[in-house]
Amino acid sequence: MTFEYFVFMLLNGLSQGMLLFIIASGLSLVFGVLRVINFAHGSLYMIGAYLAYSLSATLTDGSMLSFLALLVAVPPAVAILGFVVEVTLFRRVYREEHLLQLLLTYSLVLILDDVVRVIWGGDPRNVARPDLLAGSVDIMGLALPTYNVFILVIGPVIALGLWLLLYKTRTGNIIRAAVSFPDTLGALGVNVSRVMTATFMLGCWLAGLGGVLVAALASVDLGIGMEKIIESFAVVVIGGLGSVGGALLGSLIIGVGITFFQLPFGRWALVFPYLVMAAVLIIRPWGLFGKPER
Amino acid sequence: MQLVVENINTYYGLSHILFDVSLEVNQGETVVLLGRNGAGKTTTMRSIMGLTAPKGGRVVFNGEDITGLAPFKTARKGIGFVPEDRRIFPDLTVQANLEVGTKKGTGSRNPWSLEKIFEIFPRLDELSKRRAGNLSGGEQQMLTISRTLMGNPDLVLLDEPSEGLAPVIVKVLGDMIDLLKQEGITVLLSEQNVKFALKHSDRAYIVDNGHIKYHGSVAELQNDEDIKKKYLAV
Repeated sequence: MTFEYFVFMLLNGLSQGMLLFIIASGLSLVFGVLRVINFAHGSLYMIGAYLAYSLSATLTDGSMLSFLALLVAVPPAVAILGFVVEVTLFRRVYREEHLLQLLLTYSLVLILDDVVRVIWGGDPRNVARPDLLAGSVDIMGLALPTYNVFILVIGPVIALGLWLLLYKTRTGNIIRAAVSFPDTLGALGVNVSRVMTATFMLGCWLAGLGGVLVAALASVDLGIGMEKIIESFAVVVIGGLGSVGGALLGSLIIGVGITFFQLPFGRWALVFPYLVMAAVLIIRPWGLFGKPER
Repeated sequence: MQLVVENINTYYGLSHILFDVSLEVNQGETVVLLGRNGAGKTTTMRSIMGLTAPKGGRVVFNGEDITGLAPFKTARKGIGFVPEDRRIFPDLTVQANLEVGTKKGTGSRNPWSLEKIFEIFPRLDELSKRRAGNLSGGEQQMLTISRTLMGNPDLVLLDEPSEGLAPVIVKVLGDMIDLLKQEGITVLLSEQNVKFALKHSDRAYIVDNGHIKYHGSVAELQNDEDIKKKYLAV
């Protein structure tokens, strides 16, 4: 492998990792505060992708402006769907055992996936890249799609935004306090159930954003939700459940790892996340950035 | 009466913990709830706060029935709770812990601020940027009380604050309780450290096996060796 090709593959892998981070950070954040592993997170991401497809069909000019419109409109729509799901369903199971929570989120996967099948059908869909992002960038003689560069920019922006929100604002302090002791936070006068709803909506917003971004990256079909929830789950196990920094590291490891493993191993590279996850579970079961459970 | 607890019965799942517990606290008073480990002191506080809602009986605060209200609503009515195990938010800085506790009080007076807390506890000022999880037990106790005060409560429930603290810190804690009295804040204290508690309180209740067994002034209790032997193992 030449050095140029190595850099090219690395950038490719990093852009895959950044996309995965946007989705997995939402899953991790929601788990941290709500203590529920939301398997329907992948379905919400998929709904974001299909919504982007439908909306783009009405905005046919292919301009950067209409693509930005998707980025602005679709994630809040998914967040509103999340609001409905949290208030009507999730809220009832926070104090129940994990099995019940898993059954709820898994049944939600089945329902949402079928709703998507009914509305959009089984054919693969995609969103045309806007003119501005349709070309490619020359990286030492190799052509990297401009769109991947775009994701390479968006990912760190989201990571920085989440970091500022969580570590530099009172809201972030409240979210992190809710991760440690929700009851104590409530006794201080904070409406914790509202914090939980807002966190869930933020998680869904991130899933929706990932959905828009993937719709112009690859083709969208009924399998993408399941594929990404499994990868995201691997990410949060590797990085540590509830840790956004861990989600970033885990996503980049998996994105870059899969990209490089694909060269010699082809489709077998999909095994890579599980190998890393197994290794982390053996060596550091609480994840690279996580903390042992109390 | 600022706080009236009337015949409350509280359960953890199926086990009945409090049996017709009643107590009253006047505005500005410091009242102590004494009793052995597991007698029902913490459960009484959790019942008042709404963290474990009583199944029967009433909790009345400033003339308003607050029985079983969600804890954040109880807090907004003017009751502050300092949990036994302190529960400071370990990943937040000392200052962030205090800021998370900040809220307006019920009246127009909002006497508590970061400056005032740092004046009383200069140690917390020095540590303000430090991760709260790295504080010593005594420092954490100061922080958890301060965090509750930042919510400008009218009544503070202090659950076993002296537990596990070095004697020198217990003395600081006593000064703090006296200061709350001077500030006009009502305190309901729960303690196993009888000597410490009686030194800083006006009246005392004794709870045993989920029943209130005694109440009286501190002076009366101090002279009643039988009661002290029977319920407090002094």
